[in-house]
Amino acid sequence: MLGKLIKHEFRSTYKTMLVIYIMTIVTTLGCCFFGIRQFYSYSWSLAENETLRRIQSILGITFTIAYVVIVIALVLLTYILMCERFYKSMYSEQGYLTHTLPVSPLSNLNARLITSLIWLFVSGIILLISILLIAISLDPQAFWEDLRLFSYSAFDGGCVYSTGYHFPVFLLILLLFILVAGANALLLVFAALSLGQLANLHKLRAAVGFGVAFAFLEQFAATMVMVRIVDKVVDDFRQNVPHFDTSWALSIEQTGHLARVTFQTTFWSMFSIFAVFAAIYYVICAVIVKKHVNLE
Amino acid sequence: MPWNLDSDRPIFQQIIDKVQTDILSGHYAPGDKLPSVRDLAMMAAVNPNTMQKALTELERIGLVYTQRTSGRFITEDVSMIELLKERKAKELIDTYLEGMQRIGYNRQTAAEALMKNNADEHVND
Amino acid sequence: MSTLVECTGLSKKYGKVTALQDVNLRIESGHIIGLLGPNGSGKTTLIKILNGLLTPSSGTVLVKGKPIGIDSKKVISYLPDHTYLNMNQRVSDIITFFKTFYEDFDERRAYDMLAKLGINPKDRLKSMSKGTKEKVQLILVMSRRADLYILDEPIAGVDPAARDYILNVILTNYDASASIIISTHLITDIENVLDEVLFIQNGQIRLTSSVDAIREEQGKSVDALFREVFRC
Repeated sequence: MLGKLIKHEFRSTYKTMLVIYIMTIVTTLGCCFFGIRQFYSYSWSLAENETLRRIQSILGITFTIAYVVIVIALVLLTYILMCERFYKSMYSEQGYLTHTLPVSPLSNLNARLITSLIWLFVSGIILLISILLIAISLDPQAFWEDLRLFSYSAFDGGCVYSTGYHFPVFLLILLLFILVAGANALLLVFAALSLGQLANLHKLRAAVGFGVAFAFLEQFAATMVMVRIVDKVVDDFRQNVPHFDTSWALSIEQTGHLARVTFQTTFWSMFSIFAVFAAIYYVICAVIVKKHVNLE
Repeated sequence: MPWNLDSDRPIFQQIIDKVQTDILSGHYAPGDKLPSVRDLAMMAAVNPNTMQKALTELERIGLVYTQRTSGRFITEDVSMIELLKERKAKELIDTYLEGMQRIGYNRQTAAEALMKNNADEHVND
Repeated sequence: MSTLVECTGLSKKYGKVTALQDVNLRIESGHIIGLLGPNGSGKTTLIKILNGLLTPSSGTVLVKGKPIGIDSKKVISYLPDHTYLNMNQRVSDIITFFKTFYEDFDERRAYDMLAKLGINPKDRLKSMSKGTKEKVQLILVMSRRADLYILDEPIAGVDPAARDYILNVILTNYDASASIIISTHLITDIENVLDEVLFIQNGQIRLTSSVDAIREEQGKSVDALFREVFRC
């Protein structure tokens, strides 16, 4: 049944998402041809004629502005749309249908979480591709050169040196991190909406209140952990470099060690905070969809 | 068009009355097949269970019979229908007389009034 | 005949407000039951509990011997008192949705009824009048071959022609092995299609009886009795 629910979620959302993605791709391509490049290189122009050149520059400016807006909006819009869909299908009058389907309450929650997470991820990938395309269009030669250098350092020990992980492993944990962070962001709002709908009046206002409270708590926890991390890194540094004074230059070994310790503690601490909070939000959602749906 | 049913008498009795009237008025001839319970219920806009109950009652008093495979039929026993007619007529006459007595007629004068009314109507025709 | 629903000691409290109090109820198959009571008497609370939209504060509900959950939702077809579908969808999309999730959904029945009303399945709900939307919802709900249909205020605020249509749909699709619960405060309009009534007041069942028994024993319509029982 979870599969059927997810399929239905995609069927209800794909058209909107497709429109957003097509808009992103069109502005990206427009920007590649007319936009940023124009500012980058004055000599580059498609047109000899003055009028055409003017049109071209108007197009260029329009596309550039549109692109900036799209880049900012793409992931954010996906996020907002997913949260809106969650609220509407679970707690508005559509909830009467959602919660009387012969499926378990958790399947309803999971289907929405998984679908939203996938769309967020796809939006992220599209954004990445779009930025890369812009980068290529600016200066293809420089781009490929940079990419070559990057892959050298990534596979040639650079990644291990600074993070402690081989590049493929690094990519994998990065992916995991993105998923956990995405789930955290979605579940924060889902949980806030679920708690908000318990109120008989001003459900959305209550939800905003819960959302702000959650965000504050998470921020607070992160700050506390960060303080500990700094302590830990400093401790570690003192142990490894016992007689440090400012006139010393650090050896390559020591720099690497410092980088790795900093990266790993920060990464895994943030990861844990996201994961723990996501789990708490999930439990809140689960309890509410199981027992405390409060439709008008 | 749903049947016209009163709101204070049991629905199944009103259905029985209605079917009886339909038989006497010739809407159903002896041996005619009745529509199914569901269709009758739909026509009358009443609960199918109530319709079922009424038909069972009609069956019990012998006005309707069931053939296992082909459905329900109006009785072919004409004497039964005659008997029903007499009984219905008596009921109507009783009601008439009761009403007339209430406004001061007796059986005799009521009957005369009836005949006179009848004659007037013929004149009017 | 078998027992479809059995409620024992059912109560629901919202904070200090008691919406249902110690309701004991048994609903058999093969009946059309009127759930009658003034506004705020607990009709909708009872219906929401039966559909798993509310959790009772105490007591038990069994549907065909099983607690409320996936199994009960499979056999109950529910028409809420709101419009509850996604208005952006086409009717045909919603039919596909119902077919996907309800094994007992009879697609042909639905399309037949839509055709009779002249509703184009490719139309979106938001393009339809309020009355048509309500008819579409009723058609969807009655196109399931469920064991129990629960219709919450299906005739509130509709014109007499629409009311006749609704009663017609209910009677056409009624199957002797199923039961239908119709909640309403407009009794006269549906009295003839009911065979049993439940009077509910202040969260308690006041009376359970058959319509003909009320007429026979009291010599009055259910509506008249209702007015008497619930006189303000």
